[in-house]
Amino acid sequence: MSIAILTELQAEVRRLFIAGSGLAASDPRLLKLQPQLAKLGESSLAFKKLDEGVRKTTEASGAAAAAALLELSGLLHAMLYTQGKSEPRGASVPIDALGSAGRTTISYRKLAPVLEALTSRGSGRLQVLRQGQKDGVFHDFRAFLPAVQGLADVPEIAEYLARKVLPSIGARIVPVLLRQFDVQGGKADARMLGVIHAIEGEKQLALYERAAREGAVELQIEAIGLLARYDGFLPLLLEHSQDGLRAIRQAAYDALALQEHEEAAKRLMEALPGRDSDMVIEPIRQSRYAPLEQRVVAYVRSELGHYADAMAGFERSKRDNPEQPPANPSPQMEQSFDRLIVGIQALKGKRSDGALQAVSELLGSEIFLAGADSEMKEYVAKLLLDMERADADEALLSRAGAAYGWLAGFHLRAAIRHWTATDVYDRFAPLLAKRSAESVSLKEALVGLVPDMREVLRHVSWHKANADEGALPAERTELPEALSDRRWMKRLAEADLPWMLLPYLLRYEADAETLDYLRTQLNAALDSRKKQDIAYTLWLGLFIAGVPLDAEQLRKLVRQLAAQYGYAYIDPASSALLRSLPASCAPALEELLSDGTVARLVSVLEPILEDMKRNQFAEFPADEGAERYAWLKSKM
Amino acid sequence: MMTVTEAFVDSIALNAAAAKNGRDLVKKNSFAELNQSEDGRLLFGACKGSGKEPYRCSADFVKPESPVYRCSCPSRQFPCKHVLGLLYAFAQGRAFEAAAVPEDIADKREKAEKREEKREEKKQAEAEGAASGAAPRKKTNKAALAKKLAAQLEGVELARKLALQIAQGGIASVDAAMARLLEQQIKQLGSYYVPGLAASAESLVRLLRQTDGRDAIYTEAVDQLTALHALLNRSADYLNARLADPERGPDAATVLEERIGHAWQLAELREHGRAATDVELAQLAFYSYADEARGEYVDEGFWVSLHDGAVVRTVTYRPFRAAKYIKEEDSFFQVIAAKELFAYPGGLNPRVRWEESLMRELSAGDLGRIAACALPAVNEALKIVKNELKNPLAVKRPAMLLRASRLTAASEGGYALEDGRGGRLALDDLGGALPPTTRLLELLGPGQLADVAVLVMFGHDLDTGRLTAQPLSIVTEQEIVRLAF
Repeated sequence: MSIAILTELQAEVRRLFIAGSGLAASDPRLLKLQPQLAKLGESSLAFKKLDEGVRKTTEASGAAAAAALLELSGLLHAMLYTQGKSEPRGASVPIDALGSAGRTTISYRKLAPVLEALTSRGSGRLQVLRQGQKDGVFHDFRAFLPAVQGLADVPEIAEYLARKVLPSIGARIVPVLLRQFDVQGGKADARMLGVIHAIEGEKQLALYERAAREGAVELQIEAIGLLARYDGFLPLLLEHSQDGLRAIRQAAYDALALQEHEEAAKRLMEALPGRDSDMVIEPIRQSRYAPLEQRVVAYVRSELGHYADAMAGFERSKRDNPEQPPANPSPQMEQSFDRLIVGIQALKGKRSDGALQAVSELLGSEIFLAGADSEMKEYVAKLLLDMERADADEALLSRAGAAYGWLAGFHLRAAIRHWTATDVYDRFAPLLAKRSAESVSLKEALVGLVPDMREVLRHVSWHKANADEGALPAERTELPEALSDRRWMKRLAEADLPWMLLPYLLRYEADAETLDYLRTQLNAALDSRKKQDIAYTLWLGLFIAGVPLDAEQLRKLVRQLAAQYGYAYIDPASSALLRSLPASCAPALEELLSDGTVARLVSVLEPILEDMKRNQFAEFPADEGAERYAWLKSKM
Repeated sequence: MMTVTEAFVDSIALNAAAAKNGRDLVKKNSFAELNQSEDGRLLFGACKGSGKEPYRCSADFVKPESPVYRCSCPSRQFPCKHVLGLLYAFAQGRAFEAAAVPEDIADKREKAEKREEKREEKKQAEAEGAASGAAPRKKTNKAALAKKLAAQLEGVELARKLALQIAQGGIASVDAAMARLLEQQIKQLGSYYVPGLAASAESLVRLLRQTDGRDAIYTEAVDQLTALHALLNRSADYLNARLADPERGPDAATVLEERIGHAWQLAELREHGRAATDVELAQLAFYSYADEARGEYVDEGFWVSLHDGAVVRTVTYRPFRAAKYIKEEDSFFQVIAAKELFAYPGGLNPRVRWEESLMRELSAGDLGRIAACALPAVNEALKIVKNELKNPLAVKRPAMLLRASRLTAASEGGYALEDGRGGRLALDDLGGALPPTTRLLELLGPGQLADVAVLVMFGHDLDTGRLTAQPLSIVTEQEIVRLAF
């Protein structure tokens, strides 16, 4: 049968269907085919019918032409369907079978959504994949290729596949990955390399090395990271640390820091003062290689010396040329100071004797302290504190005197690790009242040391009010023992730091002076519209101390609460406190409710009033310490 | 009592969510009571629900091939999660206490038995009536039938007008406004008892509505339009013939009735001799897709009859609106033993259904039987397929089980199936709702690539003139490797 003419005719019929059978009458291209069809029709009935069909189509008009075209097309399609070419393209070549298929027992309902999620775009797909992972869908080989292709998906999905899914499949996926892997590829291939490593480890070292040497940038970076864990690649890593591309150098530096080798250490130190300083600081910090730490220490000490020399040179030339004083700071000073700073930054996390010595030298260096800003100075002090060594704390505490006022807070933090509460109080409390660098630094330190009971209770009350099932965040509620001298209460009141008083009030019976402070300040805060937070803190203080509000205070407080929100709402913490007031406070609240000034809150306050009336105690329980906190927590 | 496995419970759950909910009930210990009758044929229990009283659910295996599930909950899903939970609890080996059959269930059993007896009596009476020459079934109202046929013919003409209209104006001229107009005309077909014709027209118009890549759809559109026209011609001939001869019954040999829109009842199929008893089937492939033109999800399974080796299809339509309450079919890995298997008329892969069935695990013997059913020669298969495809009413993607001496790659792209007798067949992916499968061949092992039976689905691309086969499953002596689902 002549297939060529059938195909030609099909093209013409298709054209007429697209343009409309209205154009079929005397269509020249159709007519051109007719003689050939007629000739074939002499020996074949089917072609004879086609010939007739073409004739009818070209002769008819209107709906008849449409019907004729449809008839012709029906005939033609029936013939075409019997002419389908089904031969393979080219000769047979054996399939290089990977043998990765296992049993295919995952059903459509589980597999199809996963395949869909891996081959489409849009949100919600990660969840489908997580469920698939739970159902074991990825162990079915039908999910292998889409999962590997998913490594090129959005990072969220690609990373999930690379970290969780593909490694969990194990050795069966490795041949698939190796076949798909392209050393000149992109991010997806880099992830493939990571997956191969996660499954095969050092079995594929040659592959990682090839990727590190010849791969595209992303593959080089990934491969360098993998090779860092193995011995024998130091020359390669050193070579990459000189690469023209920043990202590759970064990977090489990270890798060198893991090498624990003299050459690696040397290279990192060489890069430290240069243009790559920001890239090597972190790897040096992370390194656990002692000789590298020694090098950093030596570097810092020597740079401190250079800075001192530059400084001296500057002073000299200032002295020598009084008419034309040199620029301050001189380029030499600036340069050596910058070199010093990167060294100091690299010392973070280092705890050796050498590091201790170098840092405490810095802290004792007048030249350094004069050049450094407060941030840098505090950075150095923190290096010592973070060493968590008794001798480091001692070194910190030994720096005293007028020039070290800014260090007071660090002193406190060091001291509370070793001193008694009395000693801490005696040394630091007097500093609090002064308007000085010491008091500023000290207050900063106290903020970090004294538990913030306002926050703690707010969380507890929210937690209860919202019946939150999740765990309460663990929060400090205990005063550090070294800060537990009760005399701090007086000092904190004097310094007007009411919230810091709260843990002391929980621990100790308040003295008259402190109570007086709380009352006075509360009255003042209740008179101001803007001091609701302070009022709450002071009220909480009195509450803890077991002092109920008087009628006037209660009225003002409730009015303040009413003004806080534009609707019938009291925050859970305040409402818990109100509810727990002794029954003796009830009449004042009742009166307030009846006079209509807080009409908005009536619905909220009425149940509170009922609870308040039920409180049988005239005063609060007088337990101290832990019991009092437990009681307070139960009231929230 | 039949063995209740988790796979069995999975298979009766309407969908994955229902199965999960059922499982969760067991996990959360929601069952206050788990009981089993003395004879082990009834499982029943009480499950905590949102109501005051616990829900009473039961699974009755008096007839193991058609278990009865009952529950007092108001859920429209059936079986509900409580019944599923009860069965999961049993499958997972939870302790079921022996107890007497509750009264209400005993009552219901009795009623069901009576109904069954009545049915049997009726059957017997019918059989006796048939033997004695009396009318076997109630006579169709001839006047009503004539009226329906006339209406259907009117519908055919209406649809024909639509087809001619598209052909005359040209498919390129069908823009959004025109498509809306055509859809209105299709809606009118609703009153002529021709839902099948309407669906075919709807499918065409939907295709024409696609705005992007229009050039790519033209060939498909021409084919659909041509097929629609042929369908209308045959429908008209058939309906006219029936109108002329009122004694002539419906066409139970071809797919025509179904394509016009008839939904075959099982009783009708039985009456036309399209029911076979005790047939075992093994599923080879399954997939599901949304048929937008019909407004339904279509779950399609390909099965091989262990009886005669025929490749048959199960098709479940789940209208979008009711999808939640109709069981989602799924891949099925056991052997189904259908008490009575009904085959719908027409096609290379006739659609089948069954009501009552048991299931059992697939054995090595079954795999051997399946392999033996595979067609040994590619040429023979192609002849059958081409003959099928040239019928405009046929399913455009028939499936066949072929014997392969070897599966190979082709040197210029794609893959090939060799039958060992010189016959070669190109293997490629067909697209659509099926995932690509040919690339999976590379992941197989050597034993899965030689001397196997392969279920392939054929598709003819009119643009390229190529008849392609996509491998869906490979049957070896050890297993069925599913490449699709």
